[in-house]
Amino acid sequence: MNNEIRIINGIVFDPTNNVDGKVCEICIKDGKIVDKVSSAAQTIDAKGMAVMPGGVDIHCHIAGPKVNLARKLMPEDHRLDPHFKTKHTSSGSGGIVPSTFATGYRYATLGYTTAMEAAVPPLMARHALEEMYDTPIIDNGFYVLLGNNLFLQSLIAEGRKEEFKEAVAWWLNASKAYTVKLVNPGGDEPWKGHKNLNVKDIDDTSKIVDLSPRKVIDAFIDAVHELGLPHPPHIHCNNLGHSGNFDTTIETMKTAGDRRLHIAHIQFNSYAGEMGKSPKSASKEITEYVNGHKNITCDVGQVMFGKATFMTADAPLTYLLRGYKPQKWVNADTECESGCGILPFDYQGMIYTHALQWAIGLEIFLLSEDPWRIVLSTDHPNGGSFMNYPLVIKLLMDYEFRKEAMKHVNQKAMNSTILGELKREYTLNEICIITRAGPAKCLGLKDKGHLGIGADADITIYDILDDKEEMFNAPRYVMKAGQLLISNHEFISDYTDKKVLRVAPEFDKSIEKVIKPFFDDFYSIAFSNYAIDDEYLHDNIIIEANVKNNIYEN
Amino acid sequence: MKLKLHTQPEVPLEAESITPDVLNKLKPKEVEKVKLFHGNREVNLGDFFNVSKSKLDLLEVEGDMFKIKYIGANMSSGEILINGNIGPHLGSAMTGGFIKVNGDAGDWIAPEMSGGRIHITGNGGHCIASAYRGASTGVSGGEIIIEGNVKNELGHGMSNATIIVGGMCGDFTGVNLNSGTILTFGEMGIRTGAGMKRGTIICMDNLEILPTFSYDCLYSPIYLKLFFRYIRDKTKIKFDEKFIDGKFHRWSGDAIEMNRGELLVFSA
Repeated sequence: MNNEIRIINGIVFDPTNNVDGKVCEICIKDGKIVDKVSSAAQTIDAKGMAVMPGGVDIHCHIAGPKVNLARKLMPEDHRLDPHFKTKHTSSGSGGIVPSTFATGYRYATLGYTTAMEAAVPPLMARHALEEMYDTPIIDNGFYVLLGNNLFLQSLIAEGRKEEFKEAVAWWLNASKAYTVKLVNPGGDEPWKGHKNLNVKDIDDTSKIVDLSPRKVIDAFIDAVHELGLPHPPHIHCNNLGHSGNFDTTIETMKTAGDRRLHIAHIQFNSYAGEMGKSPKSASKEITEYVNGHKNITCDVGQVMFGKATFMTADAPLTYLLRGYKPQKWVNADTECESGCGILPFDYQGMIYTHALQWAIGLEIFLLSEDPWRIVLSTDHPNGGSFMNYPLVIKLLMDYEFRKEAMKHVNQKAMNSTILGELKREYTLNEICIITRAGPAKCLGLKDKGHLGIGADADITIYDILDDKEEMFNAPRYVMKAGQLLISNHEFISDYTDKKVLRVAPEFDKSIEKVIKPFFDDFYSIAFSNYAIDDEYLHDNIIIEANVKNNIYEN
Repeated sequence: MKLKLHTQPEVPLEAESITPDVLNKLKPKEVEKVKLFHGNREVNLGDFFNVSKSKLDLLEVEGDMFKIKYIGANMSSGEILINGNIGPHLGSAMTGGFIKVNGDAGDWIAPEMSGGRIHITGNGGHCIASAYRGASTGVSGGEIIIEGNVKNELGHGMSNATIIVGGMCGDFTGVNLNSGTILTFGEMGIRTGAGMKRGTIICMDNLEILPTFSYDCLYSPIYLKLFFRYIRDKTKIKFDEKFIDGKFHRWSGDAIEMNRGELLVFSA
């Protein structure tokens, strides 16, 4: 079989290699980009089309136990959006939390070829890996929840730094994760132990382990740095969603010093005002700090109006929010590791808070000076489905459209923001950075997010249209690892040879003797059954460790 | 148009196309070629029904159709007359028009209906006018009359519709009711009106009232007089004339929800 492809006449956007809208040829062989191919290669004429690397979603919730719980919680949502079988693709169900097959296909129809699941408790990592294997087309990896792990917290509290680092490495290996995720560090345990108790401040000491969130964050940043993971700790800050939480966010970023740190869905962490009252925008303060500190990367977590589902390991937050929409919610048990809360939700333009959240997200995009460190995300499905990405792109690229959209939402919220004054419009090159090149660089994925020689041949080709939503909604061609999947807007293949991205830091085997007694005492599962064997994995690739102090050194 | 069942399907037949909206525009020959799903296989309507012209200006369907689902789905206008028993999902998501069934009906009648009328002369199954599993609301308008008995979960999560039952009801009648009216003449199952937010459930027979309901008063609502006369004129439900001027105990609940629903129970 001829596996060579040549793309000619396309307008190439490859920010990593400083190619901004230049017409050049791209050659693909054996799933990689090469400098030339034989004359027998299949030729794709991309005249007048934009050629970009495949999209990389740095933060979404698409696999694992809580995603599945959300699917089970909302059968009515699936019924309204069936995903039909075609000659080349399998059937599934859509809605705000699509089934595994539909997730893969729908990401592909937006031109995305990599997506990282953002929160999996290690206890359920097997489930996440199984679902990832079942999600076609896109490469996956997941971040493992360790921020509320009781055992690790006790190691930090006792100052056993070396053992803590080894234990983190053991947990990453045991769960086959990509990096560490901290969700409301130090907040879940007190909530589980005492009725609705949460940490209110980063220097607060919880009642269960005498430890402040700052100490937890600091210890994890240190450990991840020393282990040299490709991506720094991925943090969902304390006080997320509360008015006046921007202080906590800035303090969290300060904790990192000049070490790298990724703030997840930063929009939810950028509220001014008093706790318990209506929020105000603090996008200026937040973007000012992010702009000035090259070690910080973040994804936005843009809120889009319409259906959404809160799906988070921040159980105290879901417990609080369940009061706003008294229908159904789930709080699942994750033993000594983390929390879990799920709540179906609707964002409505006429509601002050929702409109403000929408505006704050856009402000953060428009105020940030360095697109490499700000990543497009809706924190799918927390801020809205990933199917909203084309609309977000249009809002960023079209000032007039944004102004028109602002007229149809809560005016009190709009008047309290500076969104109307921001006339910046993203260019195609900048969009390419925030959806592809940037996240790949933040994740330390050297073979993704660019079109240089040796990169993975994950390529998307869009027709260049005036309506950017339309343009990004339907790529004409999508390629994954050199295989043409979508041709002329139609699936022509259901390519499932995909990989799980993971890390495998080295650790001292003797740490298992330290961890095991805790399992014997507190876990429902035997220590020997907990860690996932390498044999259990399907296709996977270990990303080499290379953490630096900022993404530019990679 | 007249459809007569000539072959009993082995597995349920999904007959979403049997509505005036689809068939009225077609000639009998074309109607025979309309596609239906028999299990997961596509079949022609003619494989199961004889199609002929009818003198009446309505869609007549005849036969024992307890395995035929979704007749009148998404119907917006016109009239269907069904002579015989009918299967589940009759009038699913209908917005207007009238369906009359001279026979018994299956489960899940009229899910997500928002307008129109359904009149069943026989008995009904479970979950009539009920919200689908997971959804907070289902039926949002219209009128459903069942002259016989019905089973459990009548009007689950219903808003703004009227249901009249001539016979007995199963358990959980009007559970999670949002708004609308349910009137029943026969014996009631347990937990009537559990979790109701607003709306009215009117019962002629004594029933077990949940502890989350509180007693208000004994009175004689005027609108009920009109309601009973409407039922007498429109249906063949036989009821005692004493109901028309009768007094009703009013209970409000459910206290675990907004406590704004009412349960009217005939006293004497």
